[in-house]
Amino acid sequence: MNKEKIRKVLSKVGVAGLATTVGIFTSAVVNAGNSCGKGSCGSKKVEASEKAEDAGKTSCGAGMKKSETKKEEMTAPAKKETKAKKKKNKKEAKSSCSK
Amino acid sequence: MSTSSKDEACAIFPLCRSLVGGERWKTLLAMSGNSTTAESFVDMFSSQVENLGLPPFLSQLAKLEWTKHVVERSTIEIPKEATQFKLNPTLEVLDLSWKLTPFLNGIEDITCVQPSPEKEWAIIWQNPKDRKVLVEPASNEELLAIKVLAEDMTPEDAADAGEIPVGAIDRAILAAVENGLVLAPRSRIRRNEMFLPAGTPECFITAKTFTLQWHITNVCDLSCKHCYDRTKRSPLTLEQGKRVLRDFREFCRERHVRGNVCFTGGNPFLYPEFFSLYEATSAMGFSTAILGNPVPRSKIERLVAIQRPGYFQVSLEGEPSHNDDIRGRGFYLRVIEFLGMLRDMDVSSAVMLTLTKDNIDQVLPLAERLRGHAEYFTFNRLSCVGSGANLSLPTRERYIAFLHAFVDAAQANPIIGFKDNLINIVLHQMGKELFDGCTGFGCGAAFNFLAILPDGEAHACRKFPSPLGNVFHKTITEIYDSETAERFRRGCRACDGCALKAVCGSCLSIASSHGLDMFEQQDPYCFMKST
Repeated sequence: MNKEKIRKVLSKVGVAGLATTVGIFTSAVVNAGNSCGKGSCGSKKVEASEKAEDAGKTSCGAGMKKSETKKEEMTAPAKKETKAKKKKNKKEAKSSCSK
Repeated sequence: MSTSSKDEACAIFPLCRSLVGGERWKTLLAMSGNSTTAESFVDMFSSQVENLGLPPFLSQLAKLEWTKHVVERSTIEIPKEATQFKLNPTLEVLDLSWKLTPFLNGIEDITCVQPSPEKEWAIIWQNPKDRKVLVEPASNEELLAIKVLAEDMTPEDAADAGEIPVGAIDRAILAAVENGLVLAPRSRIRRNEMFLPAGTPECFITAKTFTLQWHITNVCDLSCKHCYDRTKRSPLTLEQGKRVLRDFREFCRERHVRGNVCFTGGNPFLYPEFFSLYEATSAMGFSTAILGNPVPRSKIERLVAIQRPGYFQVSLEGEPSHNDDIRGRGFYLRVIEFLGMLRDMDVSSAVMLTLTKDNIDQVLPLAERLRGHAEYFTFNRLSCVGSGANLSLPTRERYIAFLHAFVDAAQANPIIGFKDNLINIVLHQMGKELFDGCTGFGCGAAFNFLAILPDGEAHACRKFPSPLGNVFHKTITEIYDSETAERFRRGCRACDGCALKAVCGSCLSIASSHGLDMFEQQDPYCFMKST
């Protein structure tokens, strides 16, 4: 579907109306589902949505459990590329140190 | 209609056919004549709804089934990356007056359940990852993202139109990226592959998130013996803070990464404008985390009401008596109670220990004590800077032995996590899977991470003096692109050629605090070459 066709279909809804509802909706989502950050350091990985990217979901459950850390473990760089890639999304937002 | 078209129609419109029934289906096929294609069946349903006594929603169901078929058959190229956010070219949007998508997903059985006459925006698209076709009811958030991009609006204009924070628009677009409705540009936070082992996977080269560890105040209610920084610095004003956030948003947009702000201090809650700054951070669309000390429940409630942090990290230094000797009397118990409160409030918790020669034997006992209290526990080696210079690290040999025990203990204790890059050497020796290193990319100093102090000073890493400039005087982009920052990203040359470099790079702060040239001489605790 090209952009013009989508524009036409969505001409009935206004950005203002959608934005207003999204503002409320997004806030609710953040409060309800953004607790999955992970990471390890002052150092924890954050980022709810990104972590669950592979699953196409925005919530990722308990974030910092070791069991999940294990899942994120990867192979030596040149070895198990596929698995490492798959888990990569779940480990992005670590910061670097303790305070 | 030809025989092949009739067969095709059966395959394309299975739900319509099951509703219509065999006899009326035959009638419809007969009415279609010889020249009719499967596509024209959609109009046929519309025109015959009343004549044949068909369900009123049937024409829209036919349209939905046809659209799904079109998307399934689409061979249009879905670019792996875009130069800017753009709609998935396979996306179709339908405006329906019946709630029909649950039937296409198999959630409801059309022969048993009557669709409800509710307005529904159906979105049908191929997932860019596997080209699997998805049919979903669009949320307002998804519609907004689609509308903004279809209309070529900027997030700022959309936010103005809806009178909501621009971060809400950013989030809507990023959520649409997650679902594959929108294609995103590739992150520009990338390692220089020249310095990585050949064949390093892309996931260890490119960061999708950038973290700002923001020390918004040096004021603290504790006086820990190993505190890295007790200097008095010019306090951050709220206006300066908001300017930093705007600058950070620009940086993230320009680099195509998600922003994560990790508030710390001192105790960030002692910053007088903390909640205003936290709210502004949420409004910018950044994810958040806290590194701090225990605070009253009311503070956490207020925090969560604005935006639930990804995690709240506190520190412990060993078993109760040792911890309280370092951090102050009664602190251990305060932390344990606080962790329980975080759990009650569904806030993810983490405990960090700063490893010294005095507490190395207490790490594993503490990990056992914290089971059921914390979600995550790990350690970080002491950097002998600031007050930390008064303490010392264990010997290299003792540390190596400890790392092996730590890795073993992690097998049985679900809260133990890995952070120190050198753990990867143990894993490598054991032939086990490596973990992703200190910041997800081995040492992340000035790569996917920057630390900012209350007076605006930016550092590559907070564990040691690694100044890069001041965010009050330069943009984060200028600081990130500086030669000094590049030098930190480049890391230690002594690690070049190491098979673990992408997930290790040792620890610059340890080398630095041992008086070594951290860019030339590696972490004195590294034992990779002796394996």
